[in-house]
Amino acid sequence: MTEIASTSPTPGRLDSALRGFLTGIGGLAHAFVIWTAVFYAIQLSAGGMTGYGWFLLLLPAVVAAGVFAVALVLSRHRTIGVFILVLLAALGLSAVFLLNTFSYVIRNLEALTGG
Amino acid sequence: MNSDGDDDALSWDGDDALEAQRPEARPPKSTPAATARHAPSMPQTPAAASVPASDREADADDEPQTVGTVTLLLLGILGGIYLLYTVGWILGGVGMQLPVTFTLPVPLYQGALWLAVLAPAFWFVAVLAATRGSRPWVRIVWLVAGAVLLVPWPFVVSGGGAVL
Repeated sequence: MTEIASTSPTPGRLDSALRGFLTGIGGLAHAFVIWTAVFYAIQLSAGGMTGYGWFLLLLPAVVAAGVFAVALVLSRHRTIGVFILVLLAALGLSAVFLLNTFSYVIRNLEALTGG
Repeated sequence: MNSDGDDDALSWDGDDALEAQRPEARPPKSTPAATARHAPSMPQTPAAASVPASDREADADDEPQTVGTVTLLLLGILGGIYLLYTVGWILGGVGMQLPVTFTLPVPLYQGALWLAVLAPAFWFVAVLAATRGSRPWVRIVWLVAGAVLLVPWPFVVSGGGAVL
């Protein structure tokens, strides 16, 4: 019994460390989406940008951060496998929103850049 | 004398006397003829005839199997929609690449495009894994939400993935 009590914290710590590592990887992946959105906004703003254009181009960055936070909260108490899958699904959703925004922007470029 | 023709065919004269001598009479439903007549009503369990009568009571509640069939059908339909989304993201994303990469580096766009192409598969598998112990409607609701959120708009608005 004492042996079990003394060895039980190790798997818990390992699980916690693995979860922290995966959270970091997921955060980096979401940061990639955020950086892509910000980079595109900066590039397009070189020729001028309306307030609505800034809002629209930075919206994917905000959405990616929000989706990442929601995914972390939803999968907090789940197994490692489910945790990874939920983070991947959140990453895919962030990328989908980003590309949808790109699609809208390139079809309404003149209205957004003021040109 | 039993008037049932099937029982007459499977019995000999004098069986009634033997039946009377038995300590316990056979229940009429346990005869092979009765079991054979009951089997076509359960197409999901063709081996039901060989199942003991006590185990056959579990088959009485056929309702969960019906719900499972409907859920399976919906999973198939939604899986097909997700597969179409994957194709839509490939076509729409590739068609949109040229105007976007005019100002965005290609690796950044390619990374986002790969994630978007894989998003329907990620969402489907994640929902299946996360709702493993949940009720079927919870799983369906999450999958329908994914079908709403992951629509490949670049493909839809371009009318089939042509260059915008």
